[in-house]
Amino acid sequence: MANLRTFPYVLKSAFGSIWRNLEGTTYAVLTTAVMLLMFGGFLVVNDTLDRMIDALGRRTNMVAYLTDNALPSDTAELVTVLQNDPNVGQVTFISRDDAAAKFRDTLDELAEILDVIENNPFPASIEVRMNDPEAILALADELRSRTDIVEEVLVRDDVVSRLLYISQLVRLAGGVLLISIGLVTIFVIQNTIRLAVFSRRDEIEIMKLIGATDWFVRGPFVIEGAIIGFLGSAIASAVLVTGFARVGPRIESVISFLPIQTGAAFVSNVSVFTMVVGVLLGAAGSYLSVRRHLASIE
Amino acid sequence: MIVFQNVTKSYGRRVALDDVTMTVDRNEFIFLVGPNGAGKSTFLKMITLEERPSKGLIIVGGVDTDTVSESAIPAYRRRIGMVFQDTRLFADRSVIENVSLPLRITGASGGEIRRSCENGLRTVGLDGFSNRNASELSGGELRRVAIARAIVSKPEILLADEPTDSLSPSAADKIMDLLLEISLTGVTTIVATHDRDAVDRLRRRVVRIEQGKIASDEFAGGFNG
Repeated sequence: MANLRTFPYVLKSAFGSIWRNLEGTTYAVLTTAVMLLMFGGFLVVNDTLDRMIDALGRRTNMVAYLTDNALPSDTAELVTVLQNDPNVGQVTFISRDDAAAKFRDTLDELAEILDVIENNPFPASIEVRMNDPEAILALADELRSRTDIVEEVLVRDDVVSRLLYISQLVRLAGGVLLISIGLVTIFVIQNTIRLAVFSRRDEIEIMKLIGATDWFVRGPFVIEGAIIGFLGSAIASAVLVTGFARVGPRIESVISFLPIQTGAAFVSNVSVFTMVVGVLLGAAGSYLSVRRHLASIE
Repeated sequence: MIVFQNVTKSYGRRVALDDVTMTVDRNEFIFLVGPNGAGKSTFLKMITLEERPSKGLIIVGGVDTDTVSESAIPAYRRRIGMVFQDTRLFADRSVIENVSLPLRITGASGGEIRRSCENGLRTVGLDGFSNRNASELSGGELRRVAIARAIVSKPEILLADEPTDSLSPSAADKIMDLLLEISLTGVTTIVATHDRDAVDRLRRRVVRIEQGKIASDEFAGGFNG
């Protein structure tokens, strides 16, 4: 309760400190804005690449060829199992007759071959399109283990592996870059707050001597850091939204063959996330800075 | 009541307080005198828990200070009013902003803060100074503001470290009289000072510390015992 009642004073102190250290705060806000612009921009790029890879992955499929003696009931059960798998997008059963018909339709000039062969040589098969391309190899292995009804499973291993490799590489690079940007942002805000802490070290000492709690002492600095983070991220978000409004439609037109969202809602989500990250990084940087100072005077 | 029992404080090989044993009764007013570096400030810092003893027992208001954890220090310190040698006021803030600080940290309501600050400023003779900026005040007035800040939250104990340092004799007399007046309202008061005139004039208990030891402890004593 006491903490709630002291909040207006803590808030006022935070704004007072920002006002007194306007030059340093402006520098920190602008640096944070640049960092968070890179952060938000990379989120957009990373997400777009991720969606491209997903979209390409969804176009990959595999075919499970069934044994000639596979029972219709077993086949139907396998189709149901695949349809219920969340990693699977689409399951198509192709009977032996359908396969022969498809052969006739697509390779008209070779259709006569079928007339001279007594029995239909095509096996029945199940075509599987994936929702999650990363799961395709595991699913292929699972199907291969069903030797009772599955004769062979065909997967374009090389394409899938390359896609997965690129996807993992993009995610790893993105993760490293995002963490690096986060750490640099914390560092910038931490140093700005350290200057504020240094200029108010006497005030902090007096506060502690007259019985202020650590929360009361830290509060204004943490809020100050959060405000710096908020302002920096607001600038970064504004640039992101404005920039993407111009560039987004061009990207969509260039890669129109892939179902990728570059709409305002998507960028808005990234902006909101960037702002939340900005506020949290700002508060965290300040917290660390004041905590170190308090530890040194206690 | 404040009890020091065989208290020693060392910083490495340097001994700031050496086996000090003394008691300050409730509502008592004492002068702590002695040369620079004798251990007066260390004595006060032990009470505020800025420093912990290397050896010995300290009891303040019935609390063994050894049992006060780091997280409990803020609440403990709110029972003590402190007047610093250099006042440690915020020069860029108004008198009321300075005086109200001990109340603000406890989350006191606006009305309570206003009433207590008005009372505090009236006690120190600074009625009508609320909105003046601290940087506009004289040395004596700043000391009064510092005293008002120390007593505004009605502490049980008042510690003053060289409260008349750099003041004119008349201003110093007024500050010492004020501290004595406050102690008579039921506040245990310890004043560390070099002010020989005040000590001789007020004739209160005088504890002389030299080289970390209590050299003399006399009731109604003078500066030199």
